[in-house]
Amino acid sequence: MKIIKYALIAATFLLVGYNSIEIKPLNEVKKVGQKFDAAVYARDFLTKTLPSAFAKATSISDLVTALSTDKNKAFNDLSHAVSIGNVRHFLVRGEGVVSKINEDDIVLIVKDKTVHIVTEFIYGSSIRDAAGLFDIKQFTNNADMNNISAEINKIIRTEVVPPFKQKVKVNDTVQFVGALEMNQGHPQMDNFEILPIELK
Amino acid sequence: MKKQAFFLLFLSLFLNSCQNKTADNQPKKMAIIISTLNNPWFVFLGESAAAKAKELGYEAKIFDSQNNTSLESDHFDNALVSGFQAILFNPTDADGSVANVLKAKDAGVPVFCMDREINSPDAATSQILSDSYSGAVSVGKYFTQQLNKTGNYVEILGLVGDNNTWARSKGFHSVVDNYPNLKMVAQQSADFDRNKALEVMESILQAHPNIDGVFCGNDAMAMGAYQALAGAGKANKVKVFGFDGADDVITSIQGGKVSATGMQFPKVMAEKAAVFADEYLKGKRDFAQKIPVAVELVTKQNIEDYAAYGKK
Repeated sequence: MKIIKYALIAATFLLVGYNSIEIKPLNEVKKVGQKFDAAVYARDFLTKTLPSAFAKATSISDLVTALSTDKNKAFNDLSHAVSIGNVRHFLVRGEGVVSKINEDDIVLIVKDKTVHIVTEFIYGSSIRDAAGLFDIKQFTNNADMNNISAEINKIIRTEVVPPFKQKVKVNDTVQFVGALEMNQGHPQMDNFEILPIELK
Repeated sequence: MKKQAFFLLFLSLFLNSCQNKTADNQPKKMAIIISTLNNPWFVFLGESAAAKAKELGYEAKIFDSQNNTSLESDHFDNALVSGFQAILFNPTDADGSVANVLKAKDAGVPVFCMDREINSPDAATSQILSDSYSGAVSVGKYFTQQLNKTGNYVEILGLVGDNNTWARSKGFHSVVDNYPNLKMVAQQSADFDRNKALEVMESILQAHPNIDGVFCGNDAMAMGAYQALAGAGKANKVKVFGFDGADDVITSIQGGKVSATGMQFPKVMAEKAAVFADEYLKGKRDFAQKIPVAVELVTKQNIEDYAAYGKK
C-alpha cells in the first residue's frame, strides 16, 4: 500500500515538475530577447539593397515625358508606395548644373527642368519606398517601419548631405540619385523636390 | 431494410433542406462598431462602411461604443448573438479592444479594423489604418517651415490609449525635435474632443501666453484650440495645425484660421474594410495584417484640391 502511495506522490512530482520546466536552446532564447534594430536595417537597406535599383532609376527628362504623355501609366509603371492612396514615390536620377544654393535646398537645372535637391527637410518614407524594394509583409509592427524611414533619412541628413554641401558651388555639375514624392491625384509638375540618396 | 433506406433518404433530404433554408433565409449582415458617433469624422467612417456593405448586398448596422470599451464589448456580444457574419471595427482602445476582437475570432467571425489599430499581431483579420506617422511627419515639416524653425509651441494630444495619438505625436516630433529653437512649452491630452481642447488651451494660455504654434492630434481639438486663441485675442499670432481633414477645418484653412491639416481618407478605409469582409466571406483568407492608407498635407496652397474627409 505504501509503495503505491509513494509511487503516486513521485508520479505527481514528476508530472508537475515536467510541466513546470521548459528547456530551450540558448540561441533561441537570445533571439526572442533581441529587439528589432531599425538603425542597422536602415544602413543595410541604404548600402546594400537600394544601390541595386540605381541603374533602373528614371531620368528626370524621361519622367517628365512619361507624365506628360500618360500620367496614370507613368505612375503605374514608374512609381511605388507601401500605402494605399495617391501619394507615390519615384526613384529618379539626373545630372544638372547648380544655379542656386539655398538654406534648405540646392537648385539644379537638369536640361530645361528646374529641380530642387532637398538638403534640410529630408523626412518621410520616400527614400524607403521609391525603389519598391521595401517589403511591408516582413513587418507586423508599424513602429518598426516608421523607425526605418527615420533612420534612413537621418543617415542622408548627417552623412550624405553635409560633405556635399561643404564643397558644392554655383555652376558645378552634380549627378544625383534620389526619391521624388508625387500625388497622383494632383501631380505638381512645376516643383520637383528630390530627396537625395547619392550625390556626386 | 427498405424501411431503413427510406428513413435514411428522408433524413438526408430533411437535413439538406434545412441547411439550404438556413443559407438562403439568413440575411447576410455586417456589424459596424464605431468608437464614437460624437465626432462627425467617425460618423462619416461608419456611414461609408455601411453604404459599401449595402452595395455589396449585406444588411448593415452601426453600433456606437461612445469611447467605452465595456459598451463596445456589449456590442460585440450583441453582434455575435444576432448572427452578424463580419465586423467592421473602429476600436476605442488599442489594448482594451483586443479582448473584444478575440471574442469574435473565437466565434469564427472576422474583424476588420478601420483607422484605429489594436495591439495584437493576429487578432483581427486585417487592419486598414491611416498612415498617421507619415501624415504627421508632413504636418511637422510644414509646421517647422511656417514657424521658420523658431518659436514656442503647444501640443494637444488625443486619447492616450489610442495608437494614432502616439503615431501622430511621434511623426510630428521626428521632425520638430531636430530644431532646438522650437520649444514645446506644454503637452496635454484633450481626448480628441473639441470642448476639452478649448478648456486645455485656455488653461495653457494662462501659464504660457507667448506661443507661436499649436499642433493638435485631430481637427476637433484644433477647432477647440483656435476658439480659445480667438477668445484670448491671439488667433492672428498663433498658427494652428490639425489632423483629419474635417469639414470645419477645411473651411478654416480656406479662411486662414487654421494653417494645415493631415487629410485622412475614411471612405477609402471603410470601403476597403467592407470589400475585405465580403472577400473573406466568399473564401479568401490571405490578407495583409496592416494596410496603411496615405495621409495628405492640406494647406492654403493646395486647399482647392480637397474637400472634407478626403472627398473631391
